[in-house]
Amino acid sequence: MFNSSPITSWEGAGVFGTFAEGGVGLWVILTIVCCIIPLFVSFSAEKRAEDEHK
Amino acid sequence: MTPEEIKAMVDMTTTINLEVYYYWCTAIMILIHAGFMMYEMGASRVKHVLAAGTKNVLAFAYMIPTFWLFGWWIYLAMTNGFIPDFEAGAAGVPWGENMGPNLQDNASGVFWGAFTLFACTTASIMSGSVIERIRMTAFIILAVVLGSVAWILSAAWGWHPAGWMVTQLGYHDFGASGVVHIISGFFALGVLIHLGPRVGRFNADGTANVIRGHSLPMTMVGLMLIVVGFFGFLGGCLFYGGTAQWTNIYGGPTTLSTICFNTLMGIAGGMIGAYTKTKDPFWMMSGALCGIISVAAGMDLYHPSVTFVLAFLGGVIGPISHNFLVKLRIDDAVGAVSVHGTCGILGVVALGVLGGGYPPFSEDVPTITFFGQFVGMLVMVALGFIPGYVLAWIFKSLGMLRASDEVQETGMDVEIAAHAYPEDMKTPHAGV
Repeated sequence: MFNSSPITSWEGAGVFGTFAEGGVGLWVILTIVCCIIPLFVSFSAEKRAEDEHK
Repeated sequence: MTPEEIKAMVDMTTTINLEVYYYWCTAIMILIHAGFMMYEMGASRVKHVLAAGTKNVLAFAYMIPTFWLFGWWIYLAMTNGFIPDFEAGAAGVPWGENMGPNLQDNASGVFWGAFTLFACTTASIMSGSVIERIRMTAFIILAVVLGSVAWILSAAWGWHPAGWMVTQLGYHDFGASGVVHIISGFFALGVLIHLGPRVGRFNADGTANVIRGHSLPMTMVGLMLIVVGFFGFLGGCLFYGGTAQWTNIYGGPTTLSTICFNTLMGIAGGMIGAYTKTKDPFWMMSGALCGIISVAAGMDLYHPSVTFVLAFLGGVIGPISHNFLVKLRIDDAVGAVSVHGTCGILGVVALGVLGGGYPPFSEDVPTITFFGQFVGMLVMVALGFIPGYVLAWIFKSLGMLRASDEVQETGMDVEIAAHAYPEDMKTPHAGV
């Protein structure tokens, strides 16, 4: 049903991490997005706290 | 030196490396237990704190002799299902030559030790969810059944190169998302259904009250200790047998570097995901567990970016699952069912998508598939939930499971022969 393997055999395998040979760029971008979104969430929460305690 | 002597020395160095490696993995794994103890004690109110800690320590202590008596035998003998293979299990009987001092066997003790600490971890997971109302005797028996029977049976099936789930389904679970975390999370759920909520947790109209533990900082430090302990736990999922490469428990090649990348990325992704969802320090730290459990099944295969994103998702899903259970009026005091059970499901099933199609490690094993992982997940859920539910029902029927409302209101520490804090703090012994 799903086939995410970049290798067909363990014999002589080197780089084999999921999507390592293709599509890894998408996952790296998603990683960056997952780091940035929390900053907006955090900023929003601290701004709300600041406003409530002025 | 003759070539034979050099070979013998190299072989012995390899053996000692293996022995030393697992010896210290076991020691580091004890930090998981120390962390769970702090986690639970911090999450308890002052009047229950020593009962929570004592219960946790006794789970640890009982796991060791019971795992020596029959746990290790189950792992070796029960790979085919419920029918034991007595020949394969011979090396695990407590009176056998491998289960004690033996100058020809450098491996059995350290492997038994590492697996015993996995058992302690499973029992600790259930321990946190039932604090402030479970009775000690019932808890100890439940912990023994979970740690020295249910978890190790699941390991024999799905975490052993000859286990039927591995050879029939191609089930892959490198870091025990299923065999430890689904099992313990769903065992805890089975117990919680019969145990019922803490006094005052839910109102008559079904709404929930928040019961705050007496020390969130203690809980947070405890969770950080668990994070440290996971390096021993996940390191103990590797095997070095003197061949050209480290292998996973199924014999497939991997590296310690791979596990280091993915352990750290999993912890970080889970923390950030849970923080984003809740902004609650308790869940942020529990998110580290959500993250690592969500990726553990495939962390020998995933690219670190895949690990991070999946762990982030686990950190978001953990608290959502917990809120759902609260709506069902299930009082899981530390969120163990969601952190371990729900995120364990995510970990096992996600590998069917993100790791589907990886070649098998031997000719006897099918490739990893979504079907194999999904069926494996269902087996783990059943193997965890059914014994917990049935045993808790038996204890409930015998009146052994739940402390009376009066004892809960006074404090479970009335059953403990010590005081947790100085006299100026509120404890039942101080008459407050």
